[in-house]
Amino acid sequence: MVSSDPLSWLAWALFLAGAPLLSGIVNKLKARLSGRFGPSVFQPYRELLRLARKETVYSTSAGFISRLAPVIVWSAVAFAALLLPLGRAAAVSFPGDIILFAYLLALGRFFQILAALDAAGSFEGMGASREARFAVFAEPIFFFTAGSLAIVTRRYSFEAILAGISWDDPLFLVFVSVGMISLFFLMMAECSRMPVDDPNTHLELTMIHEVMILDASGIDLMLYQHAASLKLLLYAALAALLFNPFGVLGPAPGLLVFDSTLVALAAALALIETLMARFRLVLVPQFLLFATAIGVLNLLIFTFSRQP
Amino acid sequence: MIWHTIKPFEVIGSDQEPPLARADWLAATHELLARGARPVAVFSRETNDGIRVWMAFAAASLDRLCLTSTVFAAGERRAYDAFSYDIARMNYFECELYEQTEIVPERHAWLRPVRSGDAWRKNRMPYSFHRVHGAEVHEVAVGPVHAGVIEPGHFRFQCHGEQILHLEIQLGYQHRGIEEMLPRQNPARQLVLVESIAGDSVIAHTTAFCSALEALTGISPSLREQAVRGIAAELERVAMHLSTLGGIATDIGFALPAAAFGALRTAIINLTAEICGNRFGRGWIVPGGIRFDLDPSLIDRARHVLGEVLAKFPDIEDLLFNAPSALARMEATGVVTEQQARASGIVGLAARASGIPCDVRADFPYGIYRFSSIPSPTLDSGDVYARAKLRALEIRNSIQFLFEQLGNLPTPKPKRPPGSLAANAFAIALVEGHRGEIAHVLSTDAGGRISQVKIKDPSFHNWHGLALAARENGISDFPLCNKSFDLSYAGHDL
Repeated sequence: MVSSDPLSWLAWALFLAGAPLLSGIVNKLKARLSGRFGPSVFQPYRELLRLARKETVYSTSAGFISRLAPVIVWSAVAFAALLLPLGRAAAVSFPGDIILFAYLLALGRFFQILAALDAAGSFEGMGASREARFAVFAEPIFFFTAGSLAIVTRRYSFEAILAGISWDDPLFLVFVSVGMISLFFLMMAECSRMPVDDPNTHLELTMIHEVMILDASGIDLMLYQHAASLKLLLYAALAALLFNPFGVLGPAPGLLVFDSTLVALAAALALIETLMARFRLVLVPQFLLFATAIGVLNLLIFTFSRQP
Repeated sequence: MIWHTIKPFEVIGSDQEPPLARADWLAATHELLARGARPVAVFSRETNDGIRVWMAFAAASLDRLCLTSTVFAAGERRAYDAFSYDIARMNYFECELYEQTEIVPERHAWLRPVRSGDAWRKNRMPYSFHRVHGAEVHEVAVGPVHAGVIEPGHFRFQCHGEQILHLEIQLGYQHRGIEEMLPRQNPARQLVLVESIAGDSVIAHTTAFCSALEALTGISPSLREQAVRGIAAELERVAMHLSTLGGIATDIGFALPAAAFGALRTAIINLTAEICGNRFGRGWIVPGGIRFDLDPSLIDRARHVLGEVLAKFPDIEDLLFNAPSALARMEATGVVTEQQARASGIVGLAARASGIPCDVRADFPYGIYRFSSIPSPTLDSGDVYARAKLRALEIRNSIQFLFEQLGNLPTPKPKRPPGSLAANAFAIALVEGHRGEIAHVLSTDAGGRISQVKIKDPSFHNWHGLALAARENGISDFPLCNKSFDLSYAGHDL
């Protein structure tokens, strides 16, 4: 169903506009935690503006994929954001939209990988191979988490699942907190954050996401960067919505709780990036499998506690 | 023994020791190498008879250098049987000799220009990289333009998936021709050039150059000046080790120690600036002594800064060396075994991390180190952890040494007028920089002017060590291996 409530669409627009702010907050907190002042939280906006003003250059070996991919990557993530109920009814919602959500993001990733291969550089190829490999391990995390929620609530759209979460059932609370942990892991893996990928590194050989967009420039790079920050907000918002703040608390206090949860998640990310070193690349799949195991655990908790 | 043993800083007259006949030279040099001697410097000079080549070696358990030399006469074919055919550690030196003199080391397995850049390649021999063939083997080329603000160098990896099978390092992008320029400059400009050999080893290189000059004039600086040079050198070592540790933390994405080590380094280099006006010690060391002494208030200031650094250091050290995530990255990454290190003639900190005691301050004490020694620990795992940990240990030892020197500075003496240089002679200066052994060979002509300078930065020995360390490692661990060596491109390329 497509929502006819204009506020749903307004919430979505605000969501898109607010995405770089979350990245800015993570960077600011990270700088403060390591004793530096750091750039303003609005720095990502300035970066995007700078990129938008720049000329877009394509390598001589790049074909039409390189030109097409940025738009598809951005649209896929932006479309996925339509499926989240952000205070109002979700802009687009139907039973089974959790599957669409997962595969919209997968579509974005697929084109990102194609574009990286299209650039025909050895770095981009390496980044694409890493991205594809780790995606295999990251996908089950989402399905075990969202899937078990769907089974518990017996509903199949984000809007219905999240509306079905109530704070009265203590089991739900356990369930939701465990789900949040796996979503947080997913966020680290999917949004190229530490300890899986280092968003700040300048070392081509260690990068995953950054190396795939090494050849992108101008408006293309702006779209990639915005899509990346949007993806971060998407996962953080999904984790925050697990509390169902809007449904339980109403719009205004709900928004407050929702935003505080986002900032808390940003702080957790910043803390991890300050206090630990990045994993050796070969160990990343183990880390992701651990998150999958949490998802499985989630399902088990439910299955065994709801036995008649 | 047909080789000549000399001390560092000893003035050797060019005709003091006649060159050996070719066969004797080959035999003597082979024997030295067979006994495990390590090349320290190879230098040559045009003479009336042709081109004369000297090779200086350091042998374990001998506090002297062994020198062999021969002449390649003008009409003669300039070639000899390469030592590196069976002694790998001569590889680089023979390449350099060929590059500079066109004396061909025959049967050399990997003859190539090592530092002179594209001009050489275009005119003479196209550079060809080793390649690994096979399914799923791919080649990754990195540099010379990098994503960060770092020096240029080209790295060619042969990889199997994420694993490095072979790494070839091609340098020369920073070649400025310092060795050729130096003899043509006036003394003031010579010093500026020497300060520019490697921007992070200003004090070590100027100390080596000035000490060689002083040896040739026969006037050594006063004890006070030698002590201040020691202070300068150890401040440089502490600052650069802190900088490398910060770099290692950055490369593994560990933000807190990266920022904290950077802050400590700033405190140290700012102290250097307070003393001599430049954070990297430019202008501090001059021929005959030093340009800036420490007055009592500066000594107090230095103690205060060092005390603060020493107080903050353990916590940050703990953070980097006790975090499981950091240990997991550093341990067993980029291993250079003792055998590999000996075979490829690695020096300095990298050698000590592989269990080889190799420190000019202990092996050939010079300046203040003759009177007060500084411990030079070794570790034996040869991995990134060992090279990082050793830096932490050396920071503590150097700060300890600095406190001792600051509390016990000899009284200043009036400056002696500079003497003239011995004619037709040369002297080899050996100094321990923060990476390892720095050698400067200064030769003079019949008029007592500097006619030739040979400079060797420890990076020249150690780049091949990095290539060995990278093998069998994941390609994403290469930047970490690289940082743990922290070699100089400029010092290598000259």
